Order: sequence, then structure tokens, then C-alpha cells
Amino acid sequence: MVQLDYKSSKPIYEQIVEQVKLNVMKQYLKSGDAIPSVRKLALELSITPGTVAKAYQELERQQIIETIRGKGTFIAGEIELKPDEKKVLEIKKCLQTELMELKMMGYDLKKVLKMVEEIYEEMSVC
Amino acid sequence: MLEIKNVCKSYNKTMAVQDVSLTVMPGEIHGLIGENSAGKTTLIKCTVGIFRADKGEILYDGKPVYDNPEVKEKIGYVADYNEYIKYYTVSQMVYMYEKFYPAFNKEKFNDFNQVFQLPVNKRIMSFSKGQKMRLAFMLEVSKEPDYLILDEPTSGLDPVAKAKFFELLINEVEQREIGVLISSHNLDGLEKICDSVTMMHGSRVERQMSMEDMKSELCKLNVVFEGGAGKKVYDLPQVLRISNVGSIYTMIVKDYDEDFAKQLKEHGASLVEPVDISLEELFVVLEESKGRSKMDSDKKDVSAIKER
Repeated sequence: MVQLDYKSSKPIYEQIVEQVKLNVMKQYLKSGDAIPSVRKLALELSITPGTVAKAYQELERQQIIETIRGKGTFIAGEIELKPDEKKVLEIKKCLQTELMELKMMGYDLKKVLKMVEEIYEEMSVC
Repeated sequence: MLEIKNVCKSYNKTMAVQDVSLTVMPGEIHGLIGENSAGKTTLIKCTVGIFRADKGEILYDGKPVYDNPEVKEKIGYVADYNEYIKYYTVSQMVYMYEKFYPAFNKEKFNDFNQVFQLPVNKRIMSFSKGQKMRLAFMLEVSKEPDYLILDEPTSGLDPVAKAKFFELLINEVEQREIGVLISSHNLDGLEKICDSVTMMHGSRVERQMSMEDMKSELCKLNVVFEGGAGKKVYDLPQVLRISNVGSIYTMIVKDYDEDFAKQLKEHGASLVEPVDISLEELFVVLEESKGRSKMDSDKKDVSAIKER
């Protein structure tokens, strides 16, 4: 379910959050699917249970997963698609720098949009 | 909750455990690490009530463990070296456990044996170290204890058995919410199951914290110095260890923050990238740096004597 990049400077818990979300978006994981418990995933990925717990807390906060006591952890029933204003601002800022790089390499708006379209489609097609 | 409160234990005049406190909550796995002769096994033997602590208390939900069979029934213990009645077969041993422990779950034992595959009709004296370890783990878990104390439980196990052992252990913790205290030198193994750790050194507690905090104490960095790192970089007080392949330097530093990254860049680093550090590496570096600072202070002592 999750492939970690130990060499990356991105914190491991963020990698887990990101990949679970990506799997949900691609519909590899559907609502109601059981995902491994904190300890099982920690054992599988050879990382500390605390790190997995942190990732699961974040996913729960974002209502991507839900934990049912005594039963386990599942992908949430209905995943609400509501934009988080703060996050959107953050992303906009990131895009700004990346776009500048592309522009410096001579990409025009059309080319950029095509690229965005490609990435977007990659994410939603299963 | 299993509480160890300010426990001291000495053999004749040698202090083996000094003022150690720790708590294991239900559903928690607590790791006990430390170099040889740090006092781990002595502490464990006090915890399960084999030794009486010289000072301090060991409490199971507020009740003392020592000389208290009612409580001891609820505590499973796998020793570093397990001996059973030599001439008994596994089935006879199971029969004995059933008599001693009313809560003994024979079905569970049989389920476990599907995994661990011990010949039940063979005498225990013919077993290897690893087989005895499997037997001890299976018997103690089948007692359905509330707490499980494991002393170096992976020693003697082959890689397949080790992986299965960890799997079965976390199943027990998850399903029955048992608390586990586990000592081991297999730090890779501990890292992926422990919630918190106690690090012992010279019979005392050196560090006690959650595994997360422990891991963030030191930071491993990949740093690129295109012209090579100058002596100044080697002499930075935060740097505990540094090595390089060409212009890529791997260093282990303490108190890593943005300021330190900036400092490295001032010294000519073109890339500073923090990477994950393993518990094993962390332990080795901490132990080494301790040795070094001790050597430094010894040197100071020597020079102080000379001055006098």
C-alpha cells in the first residue's frame, strides 16, 4: 500500500499520508476498505509505530480514514471534497516557484496547462 | 499498569541496578536497551519477582509482584535462557502448564505450533536453543497474561521464526491489549514495534522517552561539499560522526536545525539533506560519543594531576 523513500528528506509520516491519499484518489483504495493497523504497517515498513500513528492521526483529521474500536482502520465512508483555504494558499505559493522555473525554460501557458492536465489525469484514472 | 519504582539491586557489593523507574501501560510495547552488563536482565528478574529488589517497588495495578502468585499468574516471562524439565516432552510440559495456570489456553498453543512447528512428542532435552525459545514464548503467551516480559527473545531464532515472532507478538498486543517489556540487542526489530524505550548504561537509566523522540535526538545528514569539507566542519561541536565518499559527506549531528544547515552552507556545503537514522546507528553513536567525552574528561584529570 505504501512505498517509502528512506533517502528522501520528506518526513516519513508525510509520505504515508500522501500515498494513502493518492491511493484513495486513484480508487485503488475504496471507502470501507480495511487498511493495516498501526502496528502491522510499522512492522511491514520497518518504522516506529509512533510514526505510523502520527500519519493515521493526520489522515483521520482530514477524514480520509476512520478507526472503529475493536474492528480496525478503514477508508472513510464518504470522503468530503472541501478545499482547505490555508492549504490552497500554501500550494499556490509552491506552484509559483515551480511555474517560474518552467517559464525560464521557455514553457508557455499552453504547454504548462497540458502538463497539468496530464498529471491530473494520471491521478484520477484507475 | 506495571510500575517499576526506584528499583535498586546489588549482588554482594556490585550494584547491578540503581534507581530505575519505568512504567508499562496495557497495549504498549516498551523496549529496554543497553550494552552488555548494563543491568537489563537483573531489572527484568526483579520485575517478574525472581529477585527481591533491595530498594523500590514493583507494582501490578498497585499490588506488589514479589511473592504474590495471584499477580505472577498474570505476568508472562520469557527468559534469555529457558530450561524445562529435561525428560518431559512438549505435550507433557503443556499438561503441566494447564495444571498450574487455570487460564492456560491450549488451543492457542496449538495454533501457535502450527506456525512454530515444534515436535510435540520429542523430549525437550533434544531441543536446540532456538526451539527452546519458541517453546518458552508459546507457553508464556498461552497463559494469556496481561503483561509479557521478554528478555532477549529473538536470540537463537532464525530469520523466518523471528519475523513470525514479531507478527504473533503484535497480534497479541493488538487483540488483547497486553503490555510488553522487551529487552533486545536486535535494535532493527525493536525499532518497528516499540512505542517507547529505556536505555540503560552502567546500571542506571540513561534515557527514557518515546521512540519518536529518541529517533529525533540525533539527525543524519547527507551533505555535499564540492571542494571537500574543511577542518572547521570536522571541528563543529554538533558533529558526532562524519565520513565521505568523494564530495558527498554523511554526518551524524545533534541539535540539528535550520541555523546549523546555514552554518554548513557558510562552510561551503552546496546541499544539506536530512535522512532517516536507524535506532541501531543512533545507539552506536550515542555510546561512542559517551566513551569519547569520558576519555576527554579522563585526559583533563590527567593534565590536572600533572599541573599539580
